[in-house]
Amino acid sequence: MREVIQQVVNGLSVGSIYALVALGVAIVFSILNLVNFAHGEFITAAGYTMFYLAAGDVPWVLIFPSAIIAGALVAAILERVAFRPLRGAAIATQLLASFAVSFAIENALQLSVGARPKAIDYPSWTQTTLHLGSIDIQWLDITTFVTTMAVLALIMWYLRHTTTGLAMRAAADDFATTRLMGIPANRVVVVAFLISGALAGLAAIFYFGNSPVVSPTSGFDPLLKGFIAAVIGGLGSLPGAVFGGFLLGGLEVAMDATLPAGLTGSIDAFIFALLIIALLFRPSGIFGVKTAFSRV
Amino acid sequence: MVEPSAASAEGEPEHLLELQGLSARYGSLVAIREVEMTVDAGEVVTLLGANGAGKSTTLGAIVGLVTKCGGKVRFEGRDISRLSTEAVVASGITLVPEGRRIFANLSVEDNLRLGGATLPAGEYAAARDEVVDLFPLVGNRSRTLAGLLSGGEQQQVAIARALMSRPKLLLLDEPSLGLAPVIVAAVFELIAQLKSRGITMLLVEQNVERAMEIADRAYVLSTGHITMAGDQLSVAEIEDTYLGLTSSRSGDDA
Repeated sequence: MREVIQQVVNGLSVGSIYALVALGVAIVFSILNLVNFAHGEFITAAGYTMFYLAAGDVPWVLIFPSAIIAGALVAAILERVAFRPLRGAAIATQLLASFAVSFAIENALQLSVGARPKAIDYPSWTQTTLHLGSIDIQWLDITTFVTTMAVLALIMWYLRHTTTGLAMRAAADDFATTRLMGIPANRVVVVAFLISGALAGLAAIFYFGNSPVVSPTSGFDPLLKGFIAAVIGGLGSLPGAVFGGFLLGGLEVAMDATLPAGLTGSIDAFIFALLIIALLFRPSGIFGVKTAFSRV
Repeated sequence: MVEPSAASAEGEPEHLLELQGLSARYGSLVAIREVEMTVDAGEVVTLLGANGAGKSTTLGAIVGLVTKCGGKVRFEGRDISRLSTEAVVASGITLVPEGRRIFANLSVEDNLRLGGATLPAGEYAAARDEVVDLFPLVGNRSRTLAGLLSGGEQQQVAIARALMSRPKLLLLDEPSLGLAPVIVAAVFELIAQLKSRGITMLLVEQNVERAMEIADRAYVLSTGHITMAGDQLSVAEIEDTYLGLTSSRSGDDA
């Protein structure tokens, strides 16, 4: 029983990170139909921000928000310089642009800060555990899950109760008609990228908390998992992305706990196999495509 | 930006909306050529034409959704040709698009909120009261998902949503399209009600008879050109124009 509870907590923690990444990917996709493969670079940017600020002895109470701001800022800049000029272009063009931006940033980082991984000096409390009887739970896992839930609630509130949030939901339905309401298209898109980048920054805090080493390619793995989660949920569906994130995290942890030791290195292969099988039966994902914000 | 030629002697613009030689295209295809048209405050003007004549393109060009390739759009004497869609709406023109295009996944209330997004915060409640007074349905079904409403009800939501911004000019793109005859009658009753309240409208329709009953003046588009205009056009001659049986004319006082 003790083992099960600890694995559930692990699953919720890993799932939270995937859910945050998947939600960021889905928000931009739902509005622009753009699968942004440069999303991983928002995570990397947040990682380097934490590394350099921690190395400069900046208090962590400032580093964490800085990581989120870095993710949001990079997202907003990329929207302005890379994606806005291509708005309305073919989906394949935008997709290629996102790959190009991703590679460009990776290479720029390799040239500027070097390809060698850098260890982020996380605060010691992230490694401490909470003892509940015979159960030990890492504070980082609790923080990850609780913060993710709070942020999801905040985003839900924002999308339901603010004009820009409503406009984002409307734009996911019909972008042109949203502009006919007098709502500036650029505002909606920039806010979507800002939220997407901020979510990546938050995910980076928890992701690097578990594996505190950042390199120019660090963002790829969480991006891939987040993308898979978004596809499982139904690309474009925000509740689907969150659900897909938790499902993927849960599956990973369950496999890690139950597979024979020799097979745990192949968890990703099993996950991809399951994804393929699931998509054969539900090609649009669990929540279907283009339900977008319908049930937020 | 106001040019003297667009203003009367008193300095007031002569027309609320004036299209001066407006041309627009989709990609390399020119869809409308040198369209000349005016709408005055308080008028209902209808723009008629067969499928593909360029009616919706004209409305799209006015609000900046379709690329203009010549001519000008003047609104209250000001050249708004180069404004973005958002800026055109903010200047006082709202389009009810073809096929209603309500936000199906949002509630009726949220559709109204988006319609009133450009209003100053203090004006929203009053605008909503006015709209609910005109369309009791949007008040009664405010929490219903708009996509669950019938076609006629959705058309009411679409018009109510457009009125939320308190437009000086309402553009209606084929409001009767795809609706059952009995619902079409109800929609035109609503438009008549709007007219009686002094709302200026440019109505694009294929239903010539209904449109002519309600409009003060009409323009007829054929393959991107205005071929007839006036306030005394008969339904028969307009329909002949659709079939290419009548030559172009600009009659009466238009």
